[in-house]
Amino acid sequence: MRESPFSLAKTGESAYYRGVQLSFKIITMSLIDTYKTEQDRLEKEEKKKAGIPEEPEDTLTVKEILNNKEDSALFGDMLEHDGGSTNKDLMARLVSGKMEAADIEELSKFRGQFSEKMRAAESVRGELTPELAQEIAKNNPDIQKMIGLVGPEGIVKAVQETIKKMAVTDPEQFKKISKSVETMKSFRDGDLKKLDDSVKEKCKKEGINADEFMKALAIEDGGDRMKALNDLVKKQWDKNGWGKLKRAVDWLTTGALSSGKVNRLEDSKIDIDTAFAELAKYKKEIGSVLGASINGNKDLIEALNREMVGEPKKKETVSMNDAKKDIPTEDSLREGFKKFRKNLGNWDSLDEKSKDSWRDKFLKEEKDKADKNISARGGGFWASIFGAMFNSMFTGFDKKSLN
Amino acid sequence: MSTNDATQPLRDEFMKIVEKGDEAAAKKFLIDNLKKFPEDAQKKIISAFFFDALEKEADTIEQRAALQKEAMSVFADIEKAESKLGDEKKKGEVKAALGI
Repeated sequence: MRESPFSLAKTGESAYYRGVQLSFKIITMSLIDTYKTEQDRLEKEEKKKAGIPEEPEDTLTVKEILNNKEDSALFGDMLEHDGGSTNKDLMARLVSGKMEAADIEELSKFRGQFSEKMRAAESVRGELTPELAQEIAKNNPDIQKMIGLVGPEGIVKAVQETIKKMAVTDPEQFKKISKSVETMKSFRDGDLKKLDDSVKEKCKKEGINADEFMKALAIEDGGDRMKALNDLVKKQWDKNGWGKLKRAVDWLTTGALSSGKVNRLEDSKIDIDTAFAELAKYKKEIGSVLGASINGNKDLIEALNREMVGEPKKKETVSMNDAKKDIPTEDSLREGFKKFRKNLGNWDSLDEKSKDSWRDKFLKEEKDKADKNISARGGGFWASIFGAMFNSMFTGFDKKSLN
Repeated sequence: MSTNDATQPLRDEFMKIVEKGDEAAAKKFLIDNLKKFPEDAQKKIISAFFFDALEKEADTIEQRAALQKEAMSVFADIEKAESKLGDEKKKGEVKAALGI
């Protein structure tokens, strides 16, 4: 009787079976993998056909996000900032560790958005270097002082930590910062540097300088210097007018000289030598602007820009006095709590545990309100400062004083 | 005292300056006392100053670029006009020499 390979001697049998099982398992897994890959490919094709953009490969999974302490906190911040009440409930379950099966699916809807924000934040983060801090300090005495206190590395450490949170909680401010970082980058090694280099080359070639402007800049008193600069720029451009100058050059280029015929020039009654002298004068005027753009300081560039390019778009800046209205003080918290308590009914009959839970609820609401107010101001310097003050006050606040 | 926060006197002092409405003095106070604030507040203060300075610096660079683009474009127009004018002058001189 031929023995089936499955009824081999007892000694060799189990090893044989394990081998067969393993092979079977490998084949099955490989089939499943192939199926999954194929399924993924088909899904991708379908999404592509439907015009749904492909998900970048480094998109984090919910598990990856939740397993990372920093990402998990940021993810929570994002949900809290972007979401409505559903997200807040989801957040509460996430924080308390009472996640339901459906929650993971719900969370996975946000993982693409989160990964995208993290990618953008990482890209800006990489540009926030000690060199950039030192570059900015050159024109900013406050940053110079801060570098003296914490060093360029200390500045970078602080801003790198802030930028990720900003990406998820204050997207508008993050966008502004990203744009500023891009501008700085372009001025360092991009198109803006090329433009600046070509202006420098032009000035060198033509022997251009900006003596008049530089004389005004030498005035020590800040107020007098600004006035002198504004007067000088206004005198030069109001009298001759940037627009008038452009029109004059346009006319010479496209009008009087367009046909290339001398008789046309004669018709226009232009004396060639006078025209040359006029052009030389214009050249000197424009040259002084080009020279000043290289050597000038912020005030001069602003004054020239206002006259020549037009009033820059006013940036909405929130004043210190306005921003301070957005945050509560210790006293206003206590006053607010009195009203809150009144609506609860008989406060005195509650036990201490219940009282604490209501105090926490009240403080959480007040914090959310203040954060929302600060965010609604569109960020800005004073909003950030008062936000820091508020958080510091909130952390050390004795909630038992709410009574 | 209803808070157990050691930095409250510092914040109170800051808020007194704020109440006077003097922004420059308030900024000076923050820098002079930076290291007295809790670490988290320090980071936020540094970031507020830094990002504000970064935006201002980038604004100046953009204004500078706008100015340079304008000035370079007019400079090029002037040079074009000079060149045309030079050509016309030469033509006139040649014609004069030929007695035309």
